[in-house]
Amino acid sequence: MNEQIPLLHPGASRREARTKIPQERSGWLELARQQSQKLARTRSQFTPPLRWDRLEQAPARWRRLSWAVALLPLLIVGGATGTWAFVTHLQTRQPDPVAAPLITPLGQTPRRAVAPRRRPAVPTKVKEQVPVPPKPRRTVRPRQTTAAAPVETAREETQQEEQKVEQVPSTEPQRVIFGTSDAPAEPAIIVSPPAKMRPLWTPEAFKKKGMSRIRWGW
Amino acid sequence: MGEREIVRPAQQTADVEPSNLSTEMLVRRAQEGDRGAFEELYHRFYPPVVKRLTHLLGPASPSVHDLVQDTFAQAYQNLDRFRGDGHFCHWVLRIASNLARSTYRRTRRSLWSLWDRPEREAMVASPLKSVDETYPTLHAVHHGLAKLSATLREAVVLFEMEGLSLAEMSAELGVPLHTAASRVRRGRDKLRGELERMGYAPLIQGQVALCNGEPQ
Repeated sequence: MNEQIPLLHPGASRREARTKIPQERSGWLELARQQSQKLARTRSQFTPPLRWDRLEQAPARWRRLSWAVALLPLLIVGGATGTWAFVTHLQTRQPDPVAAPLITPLGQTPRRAVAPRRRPAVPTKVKEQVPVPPKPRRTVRPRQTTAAAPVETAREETQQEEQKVEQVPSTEPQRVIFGTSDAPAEPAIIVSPPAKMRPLWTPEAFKKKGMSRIRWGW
Repeated sequence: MGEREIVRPAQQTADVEPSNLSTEMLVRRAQEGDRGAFEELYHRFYPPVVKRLTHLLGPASPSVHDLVQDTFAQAYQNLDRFRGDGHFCHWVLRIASNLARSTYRRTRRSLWSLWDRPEREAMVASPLKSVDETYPTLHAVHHGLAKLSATLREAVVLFEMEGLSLAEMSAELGVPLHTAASRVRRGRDKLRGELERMGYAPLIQGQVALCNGEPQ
């Protein structure tokens, strides 16, 4: 049935005539217009049958989408809460005695270490604020010229220095004997880590490199 | 005075073939749930909807037929909202335009557009090569149109490609006549600049006929 489709806005044709629109098109636009019309004509020649399944599925599709949109915030909030709870649980749990490291004396079967008992919480003592009396000022005394130190004092000093040298922890593996003096156990080798960590920064390094370079390690 | 039999229009036209009914009658019957009437509406207004979508989306959109089905699906779902103030065709065409707009926006944001970008660039690069094969000029013009804002692009397409009058265009876009005219003018200027930037020098009328394969 050939039906004339009316103009959308029939009264506006006179006003349109007064509106200045340049009629000349650029050549490429004219060419594109012809090609577009040709393409549209080609596409509209064949009318495929109406797909009723698509028409009936469309509301279901929107319903599914609306469910997904509604559940998405729940999923996001649930995931975030779960992650937070798991991380908190990892941070606060007790060390597992089974997973504690084994101390293995040489030539013996390994024995499990006993889980360390947590020290009961001690109530913190509130220190009373007592006014501290001012320090007595040191009186400057004139320096006295004294004789050389006695020999015994010098010896003690050298012994102390030697002891200090001996106290420096070594990084070599050490043999340690467990047990009591009555019933000594088999000796075990303890591979000790370096006793003293390297300082994070030293004043010399700070002067040389600056803070940011020390921090980032370059 | 005897009882008068009330004859409803749908009952009156129940035995008439849908193809012989007017659009208003078909719409009324479709609103009452007559599937045959809606199919007749589909067959009657398929060509204008395809043309509108083709002009708006360009030759590179393979999903025009799917979009037509979506357009009629939306029309079928919202058929009870159609009050009959305007013509059914204009209502369906407005649905198609809205769908085309959302599809265009979605495809531009899609990551797949980065995937096939080199091919599109190559298609646009040679203006005068194989004109009759795959509409390269149309590709190039749509490539230039993609650089325009959505309002200017739509105005240029409706006025230039589809050939709507300014009055129809202003009613379609819901803007005053002068606004529609100014959009067309600004869109044309920007498009000309984009085409020149892509290497499309201004073409005179004789060359247009030559490109179309017409004798001069």
